[in-house]
Amino acid sequence: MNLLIIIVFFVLMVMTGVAMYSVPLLSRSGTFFGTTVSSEFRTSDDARRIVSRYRQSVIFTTAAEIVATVVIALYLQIKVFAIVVISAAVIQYAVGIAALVDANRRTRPFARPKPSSSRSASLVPQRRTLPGGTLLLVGPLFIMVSVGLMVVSRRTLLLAETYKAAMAGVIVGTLSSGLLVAVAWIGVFRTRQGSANGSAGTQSESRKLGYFILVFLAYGFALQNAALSLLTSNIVTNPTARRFGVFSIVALTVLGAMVCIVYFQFRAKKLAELAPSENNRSDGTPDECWKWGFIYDNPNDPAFLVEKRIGYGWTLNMGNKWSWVFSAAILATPFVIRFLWFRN
Amino acid sequence: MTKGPSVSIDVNSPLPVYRQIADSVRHLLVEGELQPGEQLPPIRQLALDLSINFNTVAQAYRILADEGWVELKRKRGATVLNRRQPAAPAKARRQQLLQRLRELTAQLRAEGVPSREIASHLEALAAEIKESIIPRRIEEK
Repeated sequence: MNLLIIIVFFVLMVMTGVAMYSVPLLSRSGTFFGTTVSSEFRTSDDARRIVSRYRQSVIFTTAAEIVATVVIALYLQIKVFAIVVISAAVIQYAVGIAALVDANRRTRPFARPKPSSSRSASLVPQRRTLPGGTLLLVGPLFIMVSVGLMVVSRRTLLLAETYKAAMAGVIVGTLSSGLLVAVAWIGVFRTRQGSANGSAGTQSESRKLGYFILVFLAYGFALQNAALSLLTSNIVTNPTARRFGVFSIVALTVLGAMVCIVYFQFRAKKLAELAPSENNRSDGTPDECWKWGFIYDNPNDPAFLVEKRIGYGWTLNMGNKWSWVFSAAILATPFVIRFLWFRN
Repeated sequence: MTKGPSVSIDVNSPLPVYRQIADSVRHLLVEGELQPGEQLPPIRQLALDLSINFNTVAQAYRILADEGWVELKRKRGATVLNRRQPAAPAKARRQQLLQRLRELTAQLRAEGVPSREIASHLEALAAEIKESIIPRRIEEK
């Protein structure tokens, strides 16, 4: 069995486990497993019990998955190993989501009283700016366009199939990172500002975190697809670079994500201590429209994207018809690329 | 943190939401909290912040534009205009508006607000109006 493959799967499993373990901390302290609660609730005994129950499920599943993978890797062929590992990953996600849904159900009785039917909004026009500047946001697209130009410039030197495969990497990288860049931009400029007198003029800390997570993922997708395209099109010829190029980029992205998770945990704790008004602000979405704490469905809300209740960033309002169009387009894209780009 | 004029609505109120927005913004304009040249947020942004339909805000902005308070610009929201004092409305219209005031007072009484409280509010309102008339007369001179 290839040791490198086992290590990659091992790291991915541990990372997924760490990410799931951190879920209670990876959200505004005004929300707890997708339910609005008072900022003091997080430190109460009830909250500790809910978190403990949730984490037990995550730790048990991750540990069982890792043990099963190592044992199977020692005795089984690579094909069977792949099937078992993928099944184990699906089970890990399923158990994680089930634990999340259970924690959301247990938190509901502690929800803050329903806000009154009155709503307020600031009449001061907002001056929102991209955190980190425009260059940071368009960086992933710049990378993909550069790689695309390099591949196109070598078109005559490549076999038709090789060229198509290299360009597929460019297309997938551009679309995936472009999608994340677009969501980050919409999140900054086209979403609810939160409260009438709150964060109208400035980006709140939780929104900034959400923005940086999306930008980070966009760079991750862009770099991985760029590396694949460069290797496929033989632009990178150095044997060492060819052997470790993609692996090191994947490993660095995974490592970066882990560092970010740890950083966001500390950041979230600091946020809870430093900005009680920020944590108590309403996100303008009613609790009853959050199914399982992470799916927002409110036909009466014109918003396309709303701030997440679990994790940082934005999620679709499934009550908006454009969210369905958007989701369908994302699901259809791989098939469209497969049937149009590799038609022959 | 930005503080400034804000608009409030009650989605359970029998008064249509577009009327509530128009009334709320008009109140701020009359009180001088919104000055000529100031920008109001774009329709889409205000609709998002209030979690209501875009058309509802658009309707409220159109009412204010028809009354000459604001100028609507595509994608730039609305700009507060230096509105000239309008000529007094026709007798029929004046009667209609005063009738609305009486009906509103009756509604307050019907919903259990003590008559004394209503009277004191109306007196305070009258005092505010008188105060705003005197500086305006000085300006006109």
